[in-house]
Amino acid sequence: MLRLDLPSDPRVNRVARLRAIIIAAMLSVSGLGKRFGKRWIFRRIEFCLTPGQVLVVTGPNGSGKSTLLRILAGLEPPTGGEVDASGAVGYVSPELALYAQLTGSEHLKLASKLRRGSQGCDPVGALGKVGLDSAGGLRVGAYSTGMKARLRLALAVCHRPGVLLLDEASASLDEEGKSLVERTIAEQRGSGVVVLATNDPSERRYGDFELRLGG
Amino acid sequence: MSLGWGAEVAAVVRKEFRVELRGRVGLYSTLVFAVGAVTALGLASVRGEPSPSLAAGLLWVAMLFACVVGLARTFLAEEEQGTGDLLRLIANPGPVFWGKAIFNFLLIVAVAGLVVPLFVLFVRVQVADVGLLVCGTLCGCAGLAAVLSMCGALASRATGRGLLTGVISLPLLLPVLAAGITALRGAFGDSVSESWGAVASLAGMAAAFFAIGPYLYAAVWKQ
Amino acid sequence: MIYRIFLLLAGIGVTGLYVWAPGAKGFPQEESAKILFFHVPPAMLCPLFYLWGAVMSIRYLRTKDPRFDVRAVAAIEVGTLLCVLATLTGMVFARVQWGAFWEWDPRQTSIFIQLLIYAAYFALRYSFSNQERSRAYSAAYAIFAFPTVPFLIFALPRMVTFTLHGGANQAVVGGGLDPTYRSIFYTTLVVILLCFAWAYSLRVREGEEWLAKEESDGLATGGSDTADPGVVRPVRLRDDG
Repeated sequence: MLRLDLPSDPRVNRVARLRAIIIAAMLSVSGLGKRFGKRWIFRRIEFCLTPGQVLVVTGPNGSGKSTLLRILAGLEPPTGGEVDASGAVGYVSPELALYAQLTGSEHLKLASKLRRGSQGCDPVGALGKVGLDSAGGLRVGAYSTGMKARLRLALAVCHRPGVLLLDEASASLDEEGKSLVERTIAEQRGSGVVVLATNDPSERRYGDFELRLGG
Repeated sequence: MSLGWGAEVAAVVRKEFRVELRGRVGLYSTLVFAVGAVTALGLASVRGEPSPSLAAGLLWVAMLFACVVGLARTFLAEEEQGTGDLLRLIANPGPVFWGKAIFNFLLIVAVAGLVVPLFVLFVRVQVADVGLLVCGTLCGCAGLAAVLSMCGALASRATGRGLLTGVISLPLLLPVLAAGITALRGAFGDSVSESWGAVASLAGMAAAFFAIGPYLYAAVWKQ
Repeated sequence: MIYRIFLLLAGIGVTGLYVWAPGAKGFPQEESAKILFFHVPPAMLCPLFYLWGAVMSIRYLRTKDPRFDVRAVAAIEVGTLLCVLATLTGMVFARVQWGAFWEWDPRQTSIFIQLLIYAAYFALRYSFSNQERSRAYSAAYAIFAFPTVPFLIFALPRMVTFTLHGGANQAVVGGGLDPTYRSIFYTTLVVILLCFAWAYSLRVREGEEWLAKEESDGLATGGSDTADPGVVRPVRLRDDG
């Protein structure tokens, strides 16, 4: 699953190659499992992504796609295993609530003030990129579902994360919004990795790898 | 680095004020409860003023009533709206805790600024020692803010969080109230030597709660 | 087994001492004041168990190892049991000595507040649907609540001038007991400590068995019928482009 331009010199032994992979990896996951009560949602998930790679996570409802992404985002602890993400993380999910009383640009300003260890964010540019430039001064309470989805995308990418996690990112988006997601993924390939969880079979085309859960 | 930390705390405080001022629910309910509680106490003391000890107790009960209803909300509202995840994604626990605790403290002081003069006016108690009244009230407010912030944070992700905040904060507030009552008894004219000691222990308790609060909040931040 | 026999004998011995001891001097009712052998030790040991509970909670939050959580709960349960015992024996004591079960004496008040604070611990603990979260949040509460213990023991009773415990404070804390009395008192204290340490160890063992059972249940129901589902890896979707 890994394609690295490692020297094919026979003197570079296996351990050294593995070490090179681990250093180059932006997101590596080993032995990851999550259990709710007595039921294991998933167990022993292993993968390792290097910059430029896109992983698509598929599986039926309840197979743990969203839970996996929440764990990768650090929002929930796994029952077992390890996640190692180098660099900042951006996360998009339809379940991620926004402050109804704050405006779109206030969200981005707040995020840029509170985030550490990442490049600064330009709220105006980020809003323009997702097509919300005219709605930046509007309170999110007045946003439509699709506008909120766009704002979530802006919040996730404006600090240029190394790891971008998209959970059903194009759900409730119009055609233009869907192509926005596609552009975002293509752009992210240039600087980091993407993990995309989806129920839409056509979105498998974005990925280099597919992780099937619950099968 | 420390400057950056201060800016983060300030950003959280500003965000809390914006959300609360634009939402208004918490502020209005606090206002109504505060004025309502003092009015009820005023009605109870139409004939004759209460003893200093009773007056001190009544004042803290009024404060408690106003604060528990409206102000433990900052952490709860976050989880009720579902914005807790957003905050966990973009922020660090330390600045979030301090920002919310400072916001709570400022609001409780504002409530005290309304309740205490109103109480003195309505219940007609004699203030013998203004300095003691101010210091005792401020230190008591700090204790209230520390306990309510932490308990709100601990209850915020449980089922029945609103009720639970009351259940877990009330017993912890009893020692704070006991010290607060002792402090204000002196302010209302009881000649007790322990009042300043009580102010000191209020300050000590608030300091202890504030000192461990951020660490505990950080420990449960991503659970 | 040997430990249990020892505890049984020690218990009988302490009861004998209790019967044999003379009435406590300095109390209105000297003979019945002997209940202090069973009233004061729980009150003295209860903070010790709460301290242990806070220490174990700190270790749980540091390591997230559920065995520390088991110890924290066990210690707080035993501490709360001691707190209840101190309150109840105190009420009986108060009825005989002062004429009423409840007097709002500072020490009565502070132990009652203590009881409420730790009752809230259990209220918090059982309000989470997620087990790890329940453990972590109740551990945080146990640590947060602990500073009230020294405050309630040392500061609050001194803040109030009125107290009925004056004689007892003088007698027990101030070392005013006569030598025979003192040795009986400390023997009883040690035996009661051993009894409750035993209760604590039983509770810890039960908790650890439960953890082990949960662990094996988790392994047994690992997704499919096979106990070991194997490693889940992604597959390549396309050839290199």
